[in-house]
Amino acid sequence: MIMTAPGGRRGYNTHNMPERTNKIWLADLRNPGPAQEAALADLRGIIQTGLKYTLQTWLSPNDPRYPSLVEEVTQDTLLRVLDRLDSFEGRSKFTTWVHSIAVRLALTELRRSKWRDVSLESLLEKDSDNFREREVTEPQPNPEAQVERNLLIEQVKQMMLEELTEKQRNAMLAVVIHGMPIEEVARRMDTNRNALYKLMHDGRLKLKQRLAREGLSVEEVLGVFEVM
Amino acid sequence: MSIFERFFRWFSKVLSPRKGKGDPLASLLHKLIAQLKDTRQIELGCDEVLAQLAQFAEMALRGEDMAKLMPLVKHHLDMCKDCSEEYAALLRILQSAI
Repeated sequence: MIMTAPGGRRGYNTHNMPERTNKIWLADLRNPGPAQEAALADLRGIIQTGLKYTLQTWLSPNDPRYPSLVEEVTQDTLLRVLDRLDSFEGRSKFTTWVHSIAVRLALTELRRSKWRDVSLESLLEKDSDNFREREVTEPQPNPEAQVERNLLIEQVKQMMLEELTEKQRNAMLAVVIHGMPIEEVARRMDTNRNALYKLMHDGRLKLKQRLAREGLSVEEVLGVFEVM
Repeated sequence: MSIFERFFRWFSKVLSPRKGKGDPLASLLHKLIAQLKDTRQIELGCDEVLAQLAQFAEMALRGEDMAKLMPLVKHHLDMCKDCSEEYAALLRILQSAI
């Protein structure tokens, strides 16, 4: 466990800590000893101050999960920062880089907790039905347009079935249609967020290329499918 | 609104073709295809964006034109809700320090 802030206080006044340049942060954190301990304690305060703003729109400070989440994310961030010091390229302030890591860890945890009880199967059940058997819409006053539209819907549906793997289709449905975070879909598919984003990107590219091969533009298809 | 206007509205509504309403597959395909509009040949992944997010946020806060300076990161943030939420949180932190 990484040491607590001096005096073990929760709130942290960042105005009282020494100003460190990126170079000094790195030097202090790299060498075990009093300088490292002081830097870690200061960093801990900085992370926790940042988390207050990160969690603002997600979790009330009165929520019983709040203190343990802040503590857990702080610890994980400090460990990750120490582990990845060499990957800091100095293109931003060191503390901004640390905040970016803390933010990702915090939101990852919040997403996990929010979607904990939702299974991918239950989420996609209805979509699979829609893909298998399409609801017949009532007869339209403009039969020609309706026939044309139905043909296009079938054509696009077929493209999705042919061009996308089941994994790509499910990921896109879960993320785009149901708003499940990529991170959470990835967890359920035993992959990671980065890989899943790339998988969906490949799928989007394949679909776009197929539309072009069929002589269809995205705008044209959207115009026909537009929801009133 | 006069009775004539009401009748005219109703009549126009009846005559206009239905687009997607009541057709879950059409609605679903519409949302999926809409994603293709902004799909590019080369896109960054979430990890590549995280590595540049701190720099991106600081520059954006200085009012720099990020679409021009870091277009790939900007594009990813427009496409990826997870990363976009994290960027918004990071901006809140940096703004609080100003």
